[in-house]
Amino acid sequence: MNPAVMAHSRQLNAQQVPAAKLVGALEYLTREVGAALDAVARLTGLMQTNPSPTVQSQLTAAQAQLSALQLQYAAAQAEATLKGILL
Amino acid sequence: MAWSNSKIFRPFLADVLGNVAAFDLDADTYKVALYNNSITPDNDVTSANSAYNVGQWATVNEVYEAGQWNQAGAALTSVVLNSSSADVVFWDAADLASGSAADLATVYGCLVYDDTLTTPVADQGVSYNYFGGSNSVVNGTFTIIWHANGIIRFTL
Repeated sequence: MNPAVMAHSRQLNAQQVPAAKLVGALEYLTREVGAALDAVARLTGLMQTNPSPTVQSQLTAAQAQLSALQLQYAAAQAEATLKGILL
Repeated sequence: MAWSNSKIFRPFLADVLGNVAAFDLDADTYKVALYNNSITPDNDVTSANSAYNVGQWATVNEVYEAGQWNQAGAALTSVVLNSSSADVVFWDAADLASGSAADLATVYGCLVYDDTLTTPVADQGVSYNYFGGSNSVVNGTFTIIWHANGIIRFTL
């Protein structure tokens, strides 16, 4: 199915851009980390009820993705804290 | 060549029906990666060539911004396989938005793929969805509003 796309651009001055980027990143990464946590939880449950090498490899991949996203979130959060951006 | 339509990958359907790949449309994690117009999507490629970062879906033509719409795509949420209506089975999810300060240019469509699958093909594609033309955003929110009929739909 062809979806529609909404693209809302914003006019910001140069000083506002870095702060907006950080806020946007923290919003987005919160969602992505949540999805990755759900994936790890589901696959962990599967490993307990129905363990297999396939599920283990999926779990390992999901854990690696979760770690990468958490690192990305932590970096954005640290930068936001450093810049005194209130969230 | 370029984008011209939206399609379900033939190998996706064949692999599901033939018990070749264990897609779980109710539970797996699915991601949506964005692409420019330098590719020519083809629903008749092999399973391997429907996967993320393979063939037409190589990262060289992917559109992304770290922290706003990451490379390899954003995860679908509220995914549901709906078979409650006569003669129809469709697969849908919540509309998908970038971070609120994204810079994404000339996005023509997306690849929807199973990010959970690792074998026989990792990240195998489900469908590609055309946005009807070029879409861009500057320091704003890029949102895919899935069609009311779902991301993919089978009418029996």
